[in-house]
Amino acid sequence: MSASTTSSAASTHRYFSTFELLLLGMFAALIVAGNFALRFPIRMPGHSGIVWMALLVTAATVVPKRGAATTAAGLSGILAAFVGVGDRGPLDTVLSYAAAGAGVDVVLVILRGRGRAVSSLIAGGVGNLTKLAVKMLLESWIGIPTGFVLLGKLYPAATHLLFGLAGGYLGFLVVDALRRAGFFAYLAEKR
Amino acid sequence: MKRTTTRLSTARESNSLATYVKKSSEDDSMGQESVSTDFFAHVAGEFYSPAGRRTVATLASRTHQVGASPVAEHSLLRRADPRTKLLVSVAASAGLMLPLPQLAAILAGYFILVTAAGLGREVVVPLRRTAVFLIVLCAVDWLCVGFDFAVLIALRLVLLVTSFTAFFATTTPDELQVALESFRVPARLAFTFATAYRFVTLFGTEWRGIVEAQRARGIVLPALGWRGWHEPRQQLTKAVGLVVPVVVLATQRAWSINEAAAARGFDSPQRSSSRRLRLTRVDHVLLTATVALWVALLACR
Repeated sequence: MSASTTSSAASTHRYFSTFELLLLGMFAALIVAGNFALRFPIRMPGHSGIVWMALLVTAATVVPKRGAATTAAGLSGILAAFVGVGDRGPLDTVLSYAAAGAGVDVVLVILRGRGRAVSSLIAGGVGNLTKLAVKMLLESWIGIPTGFVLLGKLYPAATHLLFGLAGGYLGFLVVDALRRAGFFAYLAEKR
Repeated sequence: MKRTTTRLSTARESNSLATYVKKSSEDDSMGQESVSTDFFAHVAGEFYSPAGRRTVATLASRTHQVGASPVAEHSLLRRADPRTKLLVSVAASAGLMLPLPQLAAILAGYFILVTAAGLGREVVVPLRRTAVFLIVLCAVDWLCVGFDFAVLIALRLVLLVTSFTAFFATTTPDELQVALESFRVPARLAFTFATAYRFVTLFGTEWRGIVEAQRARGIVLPALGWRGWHEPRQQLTKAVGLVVPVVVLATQRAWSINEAAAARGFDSPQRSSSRRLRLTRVDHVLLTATVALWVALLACR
């Protein structure tokens, strides 16, 4: 009996198979690696969301189950905390990363649109905005006046949305390219 | 022929991974650095990094170095059980909800612990990143509300930023994996996390390689900057060439690890871990101090 047969037999009753979990883990690693390997010299808040959201949308399409993007994003949050990414400490990093994934997941579930341009676009925008929203929630939770936060966050919110939308669309283009290259057929064999 | 070659390379990768897993687990048990001759060795050595210990740019520039040990080995907390450190961090962050005197006591206790454990630098780095925001916030709060409120918010922000730094600065992902398993987190999830951590550096290197390769082919992202972004669709289409190769590589790696793990009975119900966590005297002292501090604070309320 091959290893893959054993693996798939053992994981039939599980929500994510071991392969799917590992795949999501790899996406998490890619998200963190993208943070320092691809440095866009754009001095605008939320610009890293282009690659980030693209990867989350791709992850949610490659592993087409609810919670896939949240799992990948949550794992990437803990990885980022270890690596030292983030400006407001590990707690903020883990929560905001996981929230971005949850945002992508919620939109894709509501719109039932994995692999579609519009839903990917919206998922990216919402995901990147959710990340910012969680940061703002944390700030207001510790008592930073909401009005002060909101005034200071209008511009970041706009840029987060913009880059998130771009990232979502990039995710759609990536999924489309993978589909045309026969990646999903290859993946189906592996599953 | 092509298929055979692919199979052979997959087999080689699996073997190499197996060697790596075996060697790194031996190294863990012996407290040594990872073996540098292995396929994945350059991934294993580098990224045991404390949160906030160095900037991302520095991390990126050090990705090729092997055998570095960025965990704060000198720290007293390095000897503590990761579960204890996690609990202490959670207890410290719970102080966010307390009023000013109790919050100040929690923060003072946490800073005494961190300083005594030799983690002063690790805590200062993330604070320095927030310094401007902290100063502006303090000034605005002082002017608009009052001094006490400004101090309260500043202390809360400081605690938020630093509360988990001691944990991440003194814990390796492998230790966290064991700790997560002991908290009944599914072993597959904990393993996935530890595996993903090892691949961060490798993917970073590969990604930079892909950027260079695309540039060499003339598929140029305009210095990854603003130039050309007035045609967003065209630029995004070019960016596809950056993401697709790494996704394919990541999938191949995930499959190789899945095969290697399954061959070693990873999904077996009889699976057990070779590493066990044990509470030491340091843990007992830390836990007692944390509980005592919280009981005293709640009693004073």
